[in-house]
Amino acid sequence: MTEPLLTLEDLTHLADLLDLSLSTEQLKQLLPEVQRLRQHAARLRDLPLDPEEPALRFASP
Amino acid sequence: MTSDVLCFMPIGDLAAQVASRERSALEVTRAFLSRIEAINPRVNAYTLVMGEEAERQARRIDEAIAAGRSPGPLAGVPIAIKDLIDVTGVPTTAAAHRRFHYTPERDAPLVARLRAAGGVIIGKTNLHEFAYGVTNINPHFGPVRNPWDLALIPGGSSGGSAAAVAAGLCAGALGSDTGGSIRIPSSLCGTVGLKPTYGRIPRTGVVALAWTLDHLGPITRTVRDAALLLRVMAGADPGDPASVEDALPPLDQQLDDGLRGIRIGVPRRFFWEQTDPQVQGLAESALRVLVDRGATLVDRDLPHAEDLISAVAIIITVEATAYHERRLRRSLGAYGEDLQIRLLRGFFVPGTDYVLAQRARAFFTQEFTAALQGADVLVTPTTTVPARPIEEDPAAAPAVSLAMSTELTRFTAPINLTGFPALSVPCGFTRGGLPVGLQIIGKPFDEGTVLRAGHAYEQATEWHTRRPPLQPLTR
Repeated sequence: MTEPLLTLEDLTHLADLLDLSLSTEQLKQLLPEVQRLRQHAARLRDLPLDPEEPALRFASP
Repeated sequence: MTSDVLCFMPIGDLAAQVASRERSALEVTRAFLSRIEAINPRVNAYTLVMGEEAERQARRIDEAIAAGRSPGPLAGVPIAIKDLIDVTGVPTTAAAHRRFHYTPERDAPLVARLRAAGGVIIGKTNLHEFAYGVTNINPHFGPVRNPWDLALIPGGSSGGSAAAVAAGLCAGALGSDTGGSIRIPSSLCGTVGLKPTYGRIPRTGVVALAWTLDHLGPITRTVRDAALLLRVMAGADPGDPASVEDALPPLDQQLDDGLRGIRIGVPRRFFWEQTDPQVQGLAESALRVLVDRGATLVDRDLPHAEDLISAVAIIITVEATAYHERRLRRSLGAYGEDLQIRLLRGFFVPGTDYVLAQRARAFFTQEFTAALQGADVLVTPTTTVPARPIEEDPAAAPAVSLAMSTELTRFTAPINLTGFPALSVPCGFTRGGLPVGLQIIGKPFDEGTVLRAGHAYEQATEWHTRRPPLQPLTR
């Protein structure tokens, strides 16, 4: 699954929604990290997780 | 006997000598304090050396022994505490900005257990800021330096603890491990590091990083020392609902059972890939030693191993940001640059992704459980590479810190997901003289077999007897 690419503009908008006052420089530093996390999530979405499997509903260690 | 010999003596031997009054706890403590004074300025392993308080503790132990009272299994043994664990009356700093320091009124339960066993708390050790990183390059307390090469990182986040143990600046130390923070510095500093099963040691009185991944454990010079500290610290505490009272087997007896009959699972895919050729070679040699000593190798596969790190990354990111949220919103500038990036990114992960990662975690744990059917332990290199250089350019340090986390946690962080016990033991040295670790992973609450395999390997090799080339400065 391909994750839509997050742009600096998207991130700026998200930061505003979250009430985070971040500089453009800070947002530029964050962008690749946030994109990397979205790619991680995309990988996990490809796992064969059965929503009806009781052990996979939610687990703590 | 020179004080240097004393400072590298096994914990059990030190305690026996103190208990039998062959030497006093005060003499032992002073030997370590003297070595700390001579060596620590170059290694920077400590945030605080508790000299006078350590001497007071030692005197109390000597008085107890003189009065005929049992001093405990750690009689007069100097132990260092990672500085995110509470010790009565001294600041818990988490190696962070002073704004975040606090002074606890009581010991964390695991520290109280060490004291009750006769241990002498000798100081607090430096770490990666708030334990969130592997370089131990720290803007508030300065970098910890690797005792084997002072230009290199010790690994982290428990780098001060591992460096102190390797350099003979304490007999044993405590670390915390959320993605490898005990095992990584143990690998890079040539020490033994044990991450016990999740819940085995209570986290009450400890600054959190990620609640569902955090573990505590010992860093020592031998596997027997690690077993001894584990026995003292294990057990439930009401302050940590995740902690459990699962009885430990008699580890001392089990340690000497050898490797005959032990089946060692080798998960070749992912866990033996993308590894420095020298590290790979040393870990392969370790497998041959294990077989020579009677173990059987079996191939194991974790079908989705490549995806493990994705779940860890999301869980640690979100939980760390949740823990720090209030402080972040008030005092962002008080965090180091790499911490700012690590913590701010967590605001942008949707809740649905966090739940997905937790469900994936259960899925991966099932795969690990399956891999451990037909094997007693799994074995991998602890890290992909030996110690890396300390990045001295502040402008480049944050990016280097983030990249090193990805590189160094590859084989360790997946085990935090499962909560299974894992040990790092020294398995050789590179041509440049840098230590390398072997990771031994076991079934839940089966630290006994993990330690047994590690001890048998250690007894067959001499890596744990080597000392870093550090000499006290001449005045």
